[in-house]
Amino acid sequence: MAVIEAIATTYLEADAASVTFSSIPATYEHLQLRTNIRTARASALEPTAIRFNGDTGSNYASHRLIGQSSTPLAGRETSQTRAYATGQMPTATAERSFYGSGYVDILDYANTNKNTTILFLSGENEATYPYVTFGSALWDATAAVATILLYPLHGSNFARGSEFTLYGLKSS
Amino acid sequence: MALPAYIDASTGAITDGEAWVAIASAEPDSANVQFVSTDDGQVGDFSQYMDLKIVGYVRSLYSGVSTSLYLNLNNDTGSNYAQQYLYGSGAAVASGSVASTTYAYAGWIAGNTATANIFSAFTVDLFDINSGKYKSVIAQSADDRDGAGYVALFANTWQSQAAITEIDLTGVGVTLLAGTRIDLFGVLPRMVA
Repeated sequence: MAVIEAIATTYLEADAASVTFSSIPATYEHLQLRTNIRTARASALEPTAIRFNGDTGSNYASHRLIGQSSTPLAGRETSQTRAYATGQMPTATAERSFYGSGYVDILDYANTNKNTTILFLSGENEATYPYVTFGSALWDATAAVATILLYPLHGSNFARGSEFTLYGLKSS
Repeated sequence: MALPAYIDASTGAITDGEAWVAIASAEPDSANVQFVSTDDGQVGDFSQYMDLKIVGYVRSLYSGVSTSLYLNLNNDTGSNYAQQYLYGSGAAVASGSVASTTYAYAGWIAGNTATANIFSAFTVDLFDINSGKYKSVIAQSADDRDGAGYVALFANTWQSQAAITEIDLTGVGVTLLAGTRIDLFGVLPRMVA
């Protein structure tokens, strides 16, 4: 039995408004989502938003610790309709070969007695606006995570070539 | 391109194999650790993986308490790397960026004057390594020296469209101390319709 299994990879062959992983089996202990992202936004920089199980209510909170050039920042949000899956990612204003990357750990996602807390680490080095972001988020619901929706926060599209893979981690 | 390890070579069927594949381990007592793709369709062939991950536990013979661990790809020592970092040391937090430099950062590592037996931990994730994109490399570093040291995050980009076939980790001007251990894993995708 494999300890870490690749559940599904989405490699965009055309721009797309969102990416969804659905029917996620509850047979793993934890999930990890690994991403390599660029968006089609006409302005610089765009984070990636995440929702679980189609929940569009104000049930998400986030913390972010950010390094942007010589400025370290920290902040939090509550009662949002989405959480963050990444910090800032390159957009159409960046040189064409720049993509940002990161991973999201979704812990004990199938347990129906606990809310879901995630953590992520992401970064990009688009020439004018380099970012590294470490973040967390809380989905204030106890349902098992069965669907994950990812979308560019400011409403653009994920650019062609963006890549998303969901992994399942099993316990002993 | 090599057949991914999650496809049975004889039947073409997708198996439920490990998505993380142990490629190589190094326990060096030299200044440099090198991982090179075998390009033979076997486990060590980088071309079958989506990502690579490095996990290390490192100490050096640097004459001070701490030094840097650099990462170069495909033996490229040109000014083709960019970094954004964020670190904490005690109550201080700082960040910075460097463009057009000759290396990526994997972390900061304990030197010879650090307390005995203290090693530094780091992880490095290299994303979409066979694509025609610039390569994105993210690192976490724990250089904790019992009341001193750093915790740090690094976002690096290697501005090359070449597939990654070689990784070099170098303690800056120093020898990595015996007991250092660095492991390389390949991370497989799973393409579904």
